[in-house]
Amino acid sequence: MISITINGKEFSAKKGETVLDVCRREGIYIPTLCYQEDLTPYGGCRLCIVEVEGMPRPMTACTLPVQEGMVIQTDTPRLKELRRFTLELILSEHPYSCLVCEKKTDCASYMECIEKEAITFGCKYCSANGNCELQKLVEEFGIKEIPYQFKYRNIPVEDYDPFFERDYNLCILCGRCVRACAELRCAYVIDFHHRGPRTLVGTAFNLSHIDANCQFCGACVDACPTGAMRERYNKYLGKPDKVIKTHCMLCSIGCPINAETRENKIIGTTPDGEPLCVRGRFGIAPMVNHPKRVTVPLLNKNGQLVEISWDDALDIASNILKEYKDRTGIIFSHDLHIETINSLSTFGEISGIENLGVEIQNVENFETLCLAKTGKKIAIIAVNFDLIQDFSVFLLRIKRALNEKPVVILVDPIKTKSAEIVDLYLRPEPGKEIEVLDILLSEDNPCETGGIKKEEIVTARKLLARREVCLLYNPYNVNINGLNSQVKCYPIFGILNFPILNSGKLSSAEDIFENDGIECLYLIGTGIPPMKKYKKVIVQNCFLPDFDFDLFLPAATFLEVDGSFIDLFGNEKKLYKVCEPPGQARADEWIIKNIIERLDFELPRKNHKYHPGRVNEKEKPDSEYPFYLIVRENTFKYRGKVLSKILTGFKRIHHDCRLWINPVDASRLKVENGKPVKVIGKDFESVVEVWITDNVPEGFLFAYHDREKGLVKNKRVRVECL
Amino acid sequence: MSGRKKKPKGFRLDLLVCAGTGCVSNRSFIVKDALEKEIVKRGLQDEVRVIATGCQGFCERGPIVIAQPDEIFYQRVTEKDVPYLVEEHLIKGRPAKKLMYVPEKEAIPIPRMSDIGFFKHQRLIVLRNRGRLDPENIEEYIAFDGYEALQKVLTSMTPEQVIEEIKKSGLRGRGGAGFLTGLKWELCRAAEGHPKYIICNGDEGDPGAFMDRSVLEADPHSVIEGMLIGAYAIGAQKGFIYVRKEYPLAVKRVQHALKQASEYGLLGEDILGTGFNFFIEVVQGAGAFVCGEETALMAAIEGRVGRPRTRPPYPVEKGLWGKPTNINNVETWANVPIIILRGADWFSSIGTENSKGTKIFSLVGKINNTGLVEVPMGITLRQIIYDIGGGIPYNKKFKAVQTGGPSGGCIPEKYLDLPIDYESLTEVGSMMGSGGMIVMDEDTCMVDVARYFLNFTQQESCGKCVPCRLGTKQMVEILNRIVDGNGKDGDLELLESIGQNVKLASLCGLGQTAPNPVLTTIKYFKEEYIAHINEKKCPALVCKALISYVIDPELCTGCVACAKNCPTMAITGEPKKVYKIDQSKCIKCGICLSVCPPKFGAVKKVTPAI
Ligand SMILES: Cc1cc2nc3c(=O)[nH]c(=O)nc-3n(C[C@H](O)[C@H](O)[C@H](O)COP(=O)(O)O)c2cc1C
Ligand code: SF4
Ligand code: SF4
Ligand code: SF4
Ligand code: SF4
Ligand code: FES
Repeated sequence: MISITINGKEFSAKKGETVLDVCRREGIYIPTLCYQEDLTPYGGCRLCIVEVEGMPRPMTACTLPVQEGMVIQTDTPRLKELRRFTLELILSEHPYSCLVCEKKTDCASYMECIEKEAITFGCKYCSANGNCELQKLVEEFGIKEIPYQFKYRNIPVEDYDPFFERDYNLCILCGRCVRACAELRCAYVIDFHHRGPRTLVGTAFNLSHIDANCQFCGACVDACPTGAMRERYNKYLGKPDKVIKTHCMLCSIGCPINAETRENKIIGTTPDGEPLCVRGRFGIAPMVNHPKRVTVPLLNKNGQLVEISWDDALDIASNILKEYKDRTGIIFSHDLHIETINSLSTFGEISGIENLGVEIQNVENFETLCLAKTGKKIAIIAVNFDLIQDFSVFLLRIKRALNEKPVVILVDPIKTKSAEIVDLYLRPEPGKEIEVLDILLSEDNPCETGGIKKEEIVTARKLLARREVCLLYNPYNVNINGLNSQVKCYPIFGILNFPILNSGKLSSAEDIFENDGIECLYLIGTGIPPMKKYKKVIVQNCFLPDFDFDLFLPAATFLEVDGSFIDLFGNEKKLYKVCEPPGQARADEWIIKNIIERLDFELPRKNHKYHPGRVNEKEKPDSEYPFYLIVRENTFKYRGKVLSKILTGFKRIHHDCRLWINPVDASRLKVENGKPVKVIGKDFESVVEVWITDNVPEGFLFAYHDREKGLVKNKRVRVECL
Repeated sequence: MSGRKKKPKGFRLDLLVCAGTGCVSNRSFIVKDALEKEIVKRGLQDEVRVIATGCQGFCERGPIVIAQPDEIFYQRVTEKDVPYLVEEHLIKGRPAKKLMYVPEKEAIPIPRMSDIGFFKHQRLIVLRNRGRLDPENIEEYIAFDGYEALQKVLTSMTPEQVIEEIKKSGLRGRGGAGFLTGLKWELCRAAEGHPKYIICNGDEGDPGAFMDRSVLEADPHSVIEGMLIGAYAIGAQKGFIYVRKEYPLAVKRVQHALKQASEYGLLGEDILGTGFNFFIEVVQGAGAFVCGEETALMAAIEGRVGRPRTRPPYPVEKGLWGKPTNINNVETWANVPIIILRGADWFSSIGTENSKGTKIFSLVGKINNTGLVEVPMGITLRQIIYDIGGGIPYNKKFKAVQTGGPSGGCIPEKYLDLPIDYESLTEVGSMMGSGGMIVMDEDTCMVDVARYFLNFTQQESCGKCVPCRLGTKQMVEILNRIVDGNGKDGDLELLESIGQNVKLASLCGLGQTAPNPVLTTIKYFKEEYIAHINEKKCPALVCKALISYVIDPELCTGCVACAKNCPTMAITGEPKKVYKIDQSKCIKCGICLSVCPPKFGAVKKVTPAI
């Protein structure tokens, strides 16, 4: 214990603490701008200066380690003057009329300002108004004018990336975003450039964030104390009036989030202690508030959709189910609340679950890898999945839990963004992944295998040497049953509620689609194969599907109902109602309960068989179907809806509703980038937009799972131009 | 200046050709080649030897050739002079008069180096080997007692004794702040953590300064030996020499010296069989001024962007990769071997009470003899400027001298007799810095000078902390408006208050010193500022906006020289009659002034502007 004196009072402190740490703990106020609790102290804004006895000049509290016997003053006239001086300097290049304008109070109540300034910036035009730390300090110091000429830096606003914009004219160079990106995300997308008065934050070579491999996690946006970095979606939606803690349900990690609402509307989601990915940070609010959400029950009357009352809707639904009884199939998506799944099970064992169909073992092992602080040196081999796009949060957690940075090797015939951030990227021929893994992990003489050169294998083995190897794979994307090597394998995938769904009582959606006896479908968060025709289709969801249906029941999202779900690690996570469902949308549970009440009989139970291991089925080459289509799990989905289809930002960062085709094949077929083509397989036919990229090898096509388009499993296909 | 001490037998004479950067750029290598050829032609190759040496310091007079053992000093020697030189000095055995140095305002040439004022008043400790040995040959260094200090330390002293000796000598850091070197070593030795590192700071970002470059080029082994001794005292096994990329010759010489030292078993494992290990790596810096700051420099060595961080923790506690690190300047390291060899008492007998030994200054500006000078601490500015520097050219009046690099202060005439050391310079508002010394004469506008230096430091500010980044910028803006004739009431006070605050609130030494030129010029030359602001006058006739060019009708003879050369055709008149400048067209380029024949001297500058 160290004892120090602050403003004449004695305090005890721990070794390694800074003066600011002690002051914060003891409630002694010191202004700060560049300090952020979870980042390394920076010492750049110079607002936290304190006087230390024996030191000729003031020291920054945020960087000053405590020392026995230190005598500190935090609030002398000299400090006040220097802090004020510093703030005034910041204002000399921060568009500040909002801060010092005498009409600011009127302005705040949204009255028009009749005076015209040469360059107009006002608090009401800044998205950070009311949220800005600089604004607060200026008010605190009562700064009304500054003795300097204001200089507008005239930096072009960066508004070309999805999700957030940057106006570095407002930037005060506190470096919080830079440190957040590096320290919280290990992403190193932004940094300082130039020096002196031209110092600027930005990406290398001024690339767009998309091109600079930004993960769009928003850590930088959340760190920014001013309006320089702003989320686009809620820029002008004002300050939240309520913040509710709940969880993100957009993938199996289930991160904690702070849901921010204003006037009972969700306006944004921010991390709650742990990092979020782009889905959780930027996807939730726009999705929940999406204009295309259906908020009234709809009936298809001879091709016309008409709005009907819930009473009528529930009657119609129960009548259909009564009529079709044992010819009804129920399919639901994995991302419903446990409570909903339980109420569905009253229907009997006829349900099929979308997206399930492989055997997965020891899921709980994740936790030991991810969260146990081992002293071991770890090497991660990721097979066939996009660590960055799909599971950036998971990778971060591993990195943070380990003392030492793990080595990461990616083995994937499809080149994803992750290829650029891993220590080594190996690109085997499709289907040869297991062979390559076996040679990597064996001690046999290295030789060229499955498209991987001998030297690459030697390099990989060097990286793996003397490390504990963990193999991460997505069971939907690769079947590792054939692997000979003894290595710890950890499946990682986006399915929620896995332990319930995998209990063996439920069958896969495929079983229902292949059952010719089924004439009626009740779909909760899924689609139907494009070629199939059913007599009756009831859809219960948030957005309209791409196929025809008879009845649509508008459902609530996970922000609109209390409940719970089970994450990848088997933990139950709570969900809290953050806002009311829009219009007449209702919780799934409520809808199901009301339908069941109207049924005066029990639906007969049928036992569907559970078929493991379909994904990697091999088919014989066939000249009629020259391409092999590779399909992968899409973790950018909610209730069966691919996020890119409803939110353009996702479409720009994730080519997931497109068919990837190699440029050589594309030029042979004369297909054009972005144009739709017809994909034809033995049992389906579908129209998809193409993305020409050599991320997919010649002779192969790649797509993310999309039931509505019939892109559900690997198969041989041909492509025709429209 | 002592002659070559242990001249290998057989040679009657050595011709030392300076191969410092200044002389090399004046083609001294061509002179050397020509000399060698000529000597062979005359069949003297067994009697006379030609040697390339490090910088002699008197760069202004390069290329320089010194004939030993008589130390006859030849200057501005060109290829064409070679036959004459060989004929006179080598064949006829008499000094070649035409190539000797003639001081300004005098007519008699001075043959001997030690009689030349520039050299006479210097005291060479760090530069003891300059110009007397071949920096690319370790044996020559060894011949001049090189690595003897290392031997002494490794075989007969404990690390504590070494530190004690350095502490006793009173040696202080030559890189700027003047921290006691022995104390720094002691702190680093005592710091917890392993391994420990040492760094030689050869960034030398001050424009116009080249003392460190010169030491590295002329005597790289003295720096390496100093580092070896320091490493032994501190307990470090790895050292870095950080040299800027713009010094290719220094980099080459250091790398060559390191290689030779390793070959001689003076570097690497088990040095001199004592079990002591030490390795040195050369790191080339990318050039920003602020990279010379110790924490920024360490960041650069670690491969990050060179930006300073706050201290504490100091490098001796947490330096490179978080380990205890001792960083010293090139000149500091070069002082170490001779202190060990000749003893702390000898060293501390030179200098003033708190500043011991010598300091190298780079003397430039409005002065007759520019170059590198090594002088004992406590020498007065007057001695440096007049006795060594030979005074101000063209009979102009001395106005001020700026010491300590771009953020040093400007010292006026009344302090010329100030004995210089760390404290006295700080007291008058300037600093020792790394040893820049810029002399200014009466034609210098102090406002303009202050603006010039501040503009440099603000551009070089790393941009991390607010007071430095934006405070210096505001100051430059105010100075700009003052020299543009738009100064306002209150500007002086504002400048002063920003300056004081920037010094107090900035993170690193750059911001903490950057306002010095402004603050000292306000202090010592306030009337000049007031003239600019209130009367819109530039007394030194420098600031364009405040002056006009006029033609004196009494003196003009109508020779048309000015009118013919004026780029904007602002001068009109008829030949043989008086010419006149149309002020509305004049862009104040000053060409008319420079072309008006001196015998007429009709073009004049006036202030305020018309
Ligand atoms: C802006 C700035 C630039 C500096 N540049 C140099 C430099 O070029 N060379 C140098 O030796 N020290 C330089 N220093 C001083 C170093 O930070 C450090 O004090 C010095 O290297 C310590 O060595 P010494 O104790 O031997 O002087 C600079 C300091 C500042 C603030
Ligand atoms: S969004 Fe995330 S990855 Fe992108 S720049 Fe910001 S912190 Fe870095
Ligand atoms: S963008 Fe925001 S967080 Fe980043 S340096 Fe500027 S003010 Fe700080
Ligand atoms: S990782 Fe998964 S749970 Fe976490 S924010 Fe992203 S989508 Fe949501
Ligand atoms: S004082 Fe200047 S150079 Fe030093 S850290 Fe601050 S901005 Fe950078
Ligand atoms: S909070 Fe300490 S310097 Fe910014």
